Amino acid sequence: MVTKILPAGNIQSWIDKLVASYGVYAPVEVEGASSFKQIKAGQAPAFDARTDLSPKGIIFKQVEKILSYKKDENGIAIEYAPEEETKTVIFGLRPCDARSFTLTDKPFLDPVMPENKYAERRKHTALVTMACNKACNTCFCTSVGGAPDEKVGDVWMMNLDGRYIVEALTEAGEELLKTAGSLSDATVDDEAAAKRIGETVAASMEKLEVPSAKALDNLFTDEAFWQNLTAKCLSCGACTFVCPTCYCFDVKDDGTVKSGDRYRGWDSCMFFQYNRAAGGHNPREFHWKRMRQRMLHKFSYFPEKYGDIDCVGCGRCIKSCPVSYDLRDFIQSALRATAGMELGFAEELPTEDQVEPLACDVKPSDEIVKTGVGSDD
Amino acid sequence: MEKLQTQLREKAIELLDKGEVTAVIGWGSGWNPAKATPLFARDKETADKFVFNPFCFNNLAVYLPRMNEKTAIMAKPCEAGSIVALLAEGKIARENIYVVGVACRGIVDPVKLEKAVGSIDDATAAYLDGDSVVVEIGGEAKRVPFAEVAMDKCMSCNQQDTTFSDVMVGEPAQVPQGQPSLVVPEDADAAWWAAFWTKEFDRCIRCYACRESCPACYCRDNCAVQSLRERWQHVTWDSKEALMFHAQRAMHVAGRCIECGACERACPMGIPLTLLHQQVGKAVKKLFDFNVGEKVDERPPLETFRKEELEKSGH
Amino acid sequence: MTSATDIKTMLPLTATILEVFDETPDIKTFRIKPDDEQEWEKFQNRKSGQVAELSVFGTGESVISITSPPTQPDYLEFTIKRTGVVTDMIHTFIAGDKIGIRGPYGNGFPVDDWKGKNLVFVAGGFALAPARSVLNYALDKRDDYGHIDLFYGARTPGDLCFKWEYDRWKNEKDMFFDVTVDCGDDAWTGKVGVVPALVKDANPSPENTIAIICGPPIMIKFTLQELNAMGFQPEQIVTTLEGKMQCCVGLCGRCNVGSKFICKDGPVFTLAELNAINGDF
Repeated sequence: MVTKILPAGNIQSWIDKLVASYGVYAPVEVEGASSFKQIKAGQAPAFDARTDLSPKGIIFKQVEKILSYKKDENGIAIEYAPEEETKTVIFGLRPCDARSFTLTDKPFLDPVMPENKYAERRKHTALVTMACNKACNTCFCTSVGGAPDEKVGDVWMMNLDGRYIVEALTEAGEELLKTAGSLSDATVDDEAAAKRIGETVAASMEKLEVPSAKALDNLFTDEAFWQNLTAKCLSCGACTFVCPTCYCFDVKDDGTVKSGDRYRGWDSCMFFQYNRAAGGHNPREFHWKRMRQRMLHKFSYFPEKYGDIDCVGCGRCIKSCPVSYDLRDFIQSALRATAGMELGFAEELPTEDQVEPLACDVKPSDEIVKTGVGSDD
Repeated sequence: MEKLQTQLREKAIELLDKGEVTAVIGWGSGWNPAKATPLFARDKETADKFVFNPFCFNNLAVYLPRMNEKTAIMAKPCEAGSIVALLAEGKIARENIYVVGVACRGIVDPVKLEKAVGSIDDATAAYLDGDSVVVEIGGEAKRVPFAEVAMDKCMSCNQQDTTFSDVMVGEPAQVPQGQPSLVVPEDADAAWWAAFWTKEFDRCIRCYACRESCPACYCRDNCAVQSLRERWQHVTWDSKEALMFHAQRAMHVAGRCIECGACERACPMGIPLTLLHQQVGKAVKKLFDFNVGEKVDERPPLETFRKEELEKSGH
Repeated sequence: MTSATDIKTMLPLTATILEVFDETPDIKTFRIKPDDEQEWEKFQNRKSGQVAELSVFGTGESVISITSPPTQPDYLEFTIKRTGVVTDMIHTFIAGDKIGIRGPYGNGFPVDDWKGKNLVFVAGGFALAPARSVLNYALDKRDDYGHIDLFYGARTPGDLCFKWEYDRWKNEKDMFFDVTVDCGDDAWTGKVGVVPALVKDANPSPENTIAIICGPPIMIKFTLQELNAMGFQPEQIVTTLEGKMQCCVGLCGRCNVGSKFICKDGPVFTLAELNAINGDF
């Protein structure tokens, strides 16, 4: 689709127009911690903040009621939580975060067993992705298949010089851009400037070679490797909570025998109890087994199934780890340890025709298009 | 500081060489020069990488219960106090540890540092230069007095001579005296505190990093808050439930908390947890006249019951 | 095509408990039927070895294998041991009570591939429950399968399950049923010893045979030794895995062994498949 220019100073008025019709989430700083919160008209997002929490909680809510139950004379009356229908826009998320949704879509939009609440929200959410003008020293998106200027989401934009170059990537994106006011076409120079920025930012990050899914699976049996790598890990779970691509959850009831609710909430494979069966058996009793599971799930099992590494290189885990565990250390150590095994990122992953296509009819941001509220101003 | 660091490395190598221990826990350099990271050494090459600087904020004692070999641990007064507390509770065996006391002169509070110099995420270098902390970001060297960015709790540290150790490395030094980052009003009453904590815990994401980084919370996630058989807490995660979790934890570590601040450092949302534990600590001191981390044979007051206490309280 | 948002993944419906009876002091068998016609039909079209997720509202959910075969037209049988909070609550239920149910889940046993083959069942304790679903299925479709062996044991006579089935199994055409206990009691007149010993004594031939083993790890280990010695290949040996499960649809992430989910890719695995997986068991 055609790239356009949003004039300098016009971004707030566009956001305000969106706020009038959608629930708009944008990066906001609160007491030194930043995350995606719903904003009001006139509220300027903190675009430069690399948010401590990812936006995954907007579509995959941290705690969510899935049903209520009540005992009555006929037995038990079950009421499922109403379908989510609020139209939402996540504004100003980075390409890594936007890409993370395409990854969590793979298990959650399964055509036979979708995660209902996620699917409902995904249909009603559009993503306005803001490319990066700068990489943090914990960023490594280019090592895991991403890029700081990756065109992913519904609208793509990049700050050139106060003016933004914008592009609608989907029908929903076009709908959103209708409220952005009059946009001129981007010139060849504008596009070249955008390309230069993207390349400069990408070059500022070290591109690591990632061992293949198969090689990493072979590394499973090298217990000493995992014990040494994870010696300092506290198994606290902070990484899984700030991570945009971690999606483990738990379902818990809250109530009495007579009435109550059932909730689906975030869980973490780093917790000791995560896998502990009622009889006491715990296959991942030690913290190094749990960290092994986390690394292999992201870099081996998920790629084996879906063709993509379940990590977008946002670096939040590195930043928020209390003991500064660095995922990039794992990648580099694993590369050394698997030297001699089948290496090479591309050849081991399933090819397009080997991966089950996303046959689900839930199209992300579908509902934004159907009931478009854009107008030609 | 350089000299102290060299001495620590030499000591670690000596202990490993002699076979006195098979593992040494200390600090090393991490991805961020302004944040040290725990380092486990089992050979000379790794032991040569130990560092000690004002960015060594983790409490290493948290690893001791999981070690099943004779381990040496580099201990600031914080760790030493935690080790005493763990010994007093019978959680670790004295013969399994070798404590290398480190004469610490205070640790930098990353939150205070960021308030002074901006985000430290992209720091290329960080070091102590005389009485100042220097952080180099984007080619620019930002300098700030150590006293201004030292952790609040360091300023009132009364354990620099780390009484509990097998060997002491370094000369005790005066900790910096500066302004606490959080000033609690003189007239702070229950209403003030309720409003304060409700606001702070609104950010709590219940990741439990605070609990896992705490040496006193050795229940790990067999924690009461996650108990299924007896449901102490609701499933919903909001400010009220978060406050409930932290209040419970504060009560469970009352009389056992060394106020090292590891919980606050671990929190990805920057919640000032040490303040909560300090308030409870004050109450413990007042009620039981008990100082955590001083005597190996003295169990914490909330774990013991003495008849005199009944009499003292007038019951 | 059904919209994904119409599929109520992980959302249970109600079922009625028709009957409850004791197997042992801590194990009961429940006969349950889903209230909703469509849901019941879904269950009737299941494969042997599939599981269901039972809901005790207010406490939680538990994944239990369906021990009755799909050929049983009146109800679903669940043989449940009191182990944790949910199973404790289930044990308080009586006939007439309501319970939540969803399913069927899992891969089930490949009964069509096994047509014409001999089946050797080796089970210990209450792990006979998952094996029973395909055992009784094969017995209901007797002519489709060859000779059937069932080697079963428990720690004590009081721990033996499905005693009410023994007459049938002893008298079925072309079936050999042998029982043992680790420790007998005053009333016990049967064999005393471990289950693998029963297998060794009977010395079943691996020719055109599938072995299904369900039991505690120690029993599996020694049974495998016996079967290996007799010439059984890993592709001929099948077992069911257990683990902590929650969603039972391969989404919550916890029940994986390597890249396989027990709830979705299992619980039935051949030994050959398990040997190829690097995972935490």
